[in-house]
Amino acid sequence: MLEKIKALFERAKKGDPVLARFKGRLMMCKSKLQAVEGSKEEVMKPAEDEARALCKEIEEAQAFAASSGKKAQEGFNLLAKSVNHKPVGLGSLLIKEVDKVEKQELSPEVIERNKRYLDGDELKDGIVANDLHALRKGDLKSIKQTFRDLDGKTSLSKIQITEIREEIVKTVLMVPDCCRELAKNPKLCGEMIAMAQGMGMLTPGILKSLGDQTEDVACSIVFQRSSVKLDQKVSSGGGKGFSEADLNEWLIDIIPKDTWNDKKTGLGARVINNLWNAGDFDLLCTLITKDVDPSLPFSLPLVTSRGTQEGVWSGFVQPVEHLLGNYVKLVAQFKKDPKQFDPEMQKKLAGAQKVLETLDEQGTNILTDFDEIMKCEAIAAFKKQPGTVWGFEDVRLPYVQAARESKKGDEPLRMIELWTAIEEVLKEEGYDRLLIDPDKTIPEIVATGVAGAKEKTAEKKKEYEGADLDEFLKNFEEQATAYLTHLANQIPKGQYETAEQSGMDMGKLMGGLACNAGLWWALENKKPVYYCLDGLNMDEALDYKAFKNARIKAHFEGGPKHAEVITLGEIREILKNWSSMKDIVFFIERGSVMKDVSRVEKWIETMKRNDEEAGKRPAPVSTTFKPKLDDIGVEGLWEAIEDHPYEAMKVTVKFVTLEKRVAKMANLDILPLYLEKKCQFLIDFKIIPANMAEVCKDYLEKVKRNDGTESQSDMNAVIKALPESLQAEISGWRVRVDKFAEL
Amino acid sequence: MASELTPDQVNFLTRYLGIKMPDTAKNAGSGLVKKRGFLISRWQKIPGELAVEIDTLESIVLKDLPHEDAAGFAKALRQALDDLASGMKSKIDSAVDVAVNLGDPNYGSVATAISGLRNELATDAVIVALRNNALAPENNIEATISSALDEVEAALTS
Repeated sequence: MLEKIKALFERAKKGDPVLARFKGRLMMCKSKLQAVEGSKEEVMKPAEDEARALCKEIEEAQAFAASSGKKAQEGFNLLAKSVNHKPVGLGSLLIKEVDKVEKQELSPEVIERNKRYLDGDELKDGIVANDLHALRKGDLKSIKQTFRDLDGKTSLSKIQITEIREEIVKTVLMVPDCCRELAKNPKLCGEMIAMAQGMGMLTPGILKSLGDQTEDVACSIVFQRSSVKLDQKVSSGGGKGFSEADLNEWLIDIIPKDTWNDKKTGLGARVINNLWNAGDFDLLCTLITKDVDPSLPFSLPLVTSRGTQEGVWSGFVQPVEHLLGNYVKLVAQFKKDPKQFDPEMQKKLAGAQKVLETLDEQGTNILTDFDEIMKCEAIAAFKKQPGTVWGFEDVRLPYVQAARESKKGDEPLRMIELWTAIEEVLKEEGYDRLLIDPDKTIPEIVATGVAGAKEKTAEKKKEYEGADLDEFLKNFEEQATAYLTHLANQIPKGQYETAEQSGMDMGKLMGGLACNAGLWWALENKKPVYYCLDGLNMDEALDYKAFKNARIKAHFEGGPKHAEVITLGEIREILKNWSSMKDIVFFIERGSVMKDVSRVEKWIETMKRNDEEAGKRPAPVSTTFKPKLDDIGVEGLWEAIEDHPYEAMKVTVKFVTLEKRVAKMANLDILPLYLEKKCQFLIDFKIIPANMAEVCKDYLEKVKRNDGTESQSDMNAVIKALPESLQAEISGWRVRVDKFAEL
Repeated sequence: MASELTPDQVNFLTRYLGIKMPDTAKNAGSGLVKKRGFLISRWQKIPGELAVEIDTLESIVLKDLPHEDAAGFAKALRQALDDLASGMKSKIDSAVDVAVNLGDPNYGSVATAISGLRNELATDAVIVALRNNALAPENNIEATISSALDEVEAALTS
């Protein structure tokens, strides 16, 4: 959430016309979230709820700005001005809010407080006396406010701020009564204790005075300390107080295993990620040996933008086990010749080596030794029959690197390597061009893709080490052409007009569809798919529908759109179509090819059962789709569908796909195929004739027998019965079919 | 119909409409009372005609912009249009007076005044804001007032 608010705030600062009006509130919200970051759920919740409400308001304002409502509002504002009536409208509401926030930013209390801190340029004596007095009486607000004020706008210098903080820490923590009161706000208390440790002032007495809140405060301390760089920890230790090792021991002792591995707070996953980025590999390894689970990710609630730390991706903190996949080959190279890396990298690789060894000792889901990967069964299979390597990105990477070294891997081995050719067709304009005119579009896109791939391979020399790049680019061209040709001949799945209304994040949805298309392309080309299951929680894939439904439902209640987990989507695509996919898919576990396919059958059964239990996908209120449903122009449709939101969504999606894409495609067989296979909802609501599916099937069969013209008249008859609103698009198809028949 | 006002008619105009009749009234255009009567009755219809339009606008605001104060807006609009219409009537009245004072049988001053009012209508801030307004592109407020002006002009200058 914090990342999202930060991103919105940045856009607001850059003058985004809608977001600019929210700038002040976004700034306030950002500060609040930062203040509670790393705390337990109940501490974070109010700030996150507020942020969520603000995001919802922003989304509404954005939707409003993009809608006809904006014009109506502009019209109203004009009229209201002419009659001296003040619009209440969103704009004026926001202006009021911004005014309010601006006033808060320049709060007289802050100005007064700053005056109170200073005596000329010097800090006054006993500046926190009042706060301390209030705290003793059980009033936390005052000290909290003082501490927070120092983060915000003040006229104080950095040195003065540090002095005040130190003064607060010293004064408050040394008084057991105060310390106990302060512990009622574990986040703030943890922050102060972490600071005290940095100042060499932490004593066992302070930790003993925390009372019932000890565990919560410990969680806050460990989170705060985990992001302190190792060299700063070392330099700050050694005072009269606790050593860093003493504190760590105390923390590990106090925080139970279940708290570390709690998926909701993600404490273990986040602390481990911080420790990795701070370079504290020893503590990281200690935590792993103390059963902090290295395979756990953490879903950052509501965050969709990428973080700034290694291993923090869109919406989640990556398990360290996955992250280490990037280092398996590097560590092997480091062991052979450390000096080939710069000193900074040497430190990191020594740390990575230590973590990989610890993972190995503790038992892990991944192979930690590159030599072992080079010799594994999966790579032997790849050498015999090269194909593509799938799985979580960083987990499969060592396999891709090993395949590349096998001298059979001079070609794109992952969909991501074809991305420079794929990304264009993920956009609406490119996708439509591909469907309408593939002969012209594919060579253009492939040429751009090859140029992009050339740059990428030059940029990531290490990754393509050992590959024949000319051969790679030649194979890239072939694969990209084959993939795009495949995509141009499939029933279109791009739902540009309806995805977001249906609660889906468009970018991830299209990324997922592109990868799933890659599986079908592999099947069409009989190319093996080596699917690496390491680090993948199969239960999550099998229960993904329920998870997805819950996320979409949450979106309709004010949360963000659901961002597809692409890897889980791929697994489900394979399982759903196992009867075909089993010919090309090889599941890989720790380097071995899975032979017991009865496990797959069990997964399929479980998935089916789970999907049934998960039920229909949640849909927004029917009125979301009313304008489009009205455009269809079928009498009585709205009355029949308005109480059925799911059906309203499906009918809209199916109709829009038919109208915007299927009817315009160069591949003339897709329209009858779509009408036959995908239009039951349209038949149910009498938008297309009931016999349409049958006529289409018949037509396609006759086309296969080169006898299409005979059934064209039947097709024409049913097409005439389609809604008027579709006739223009369909008539284009008919003209093209007729021309085709003449040839 | 007589070409001159009867004393009773002059008395009526002076007493009830507050129009001081000059001596030359007898030379002014024929059917003055009837024409003035038309002006009054036609102008009395305007609020009713505009009310329909204002109600329509109010319902659009209620539906499309539920966060707005539709009733407050309608009240302000009604007031603004009332002011506009009564201002116009006052100017036509004055023009009629001028015509009568001048003994102009063709009510040239009325025609001139109405022409000026048309310009005024075309540039009035409320009317400009209403014209092609995305909130209610089909509103007839300008046309309603314009028709009233046309009818009054036709009646008074015929």
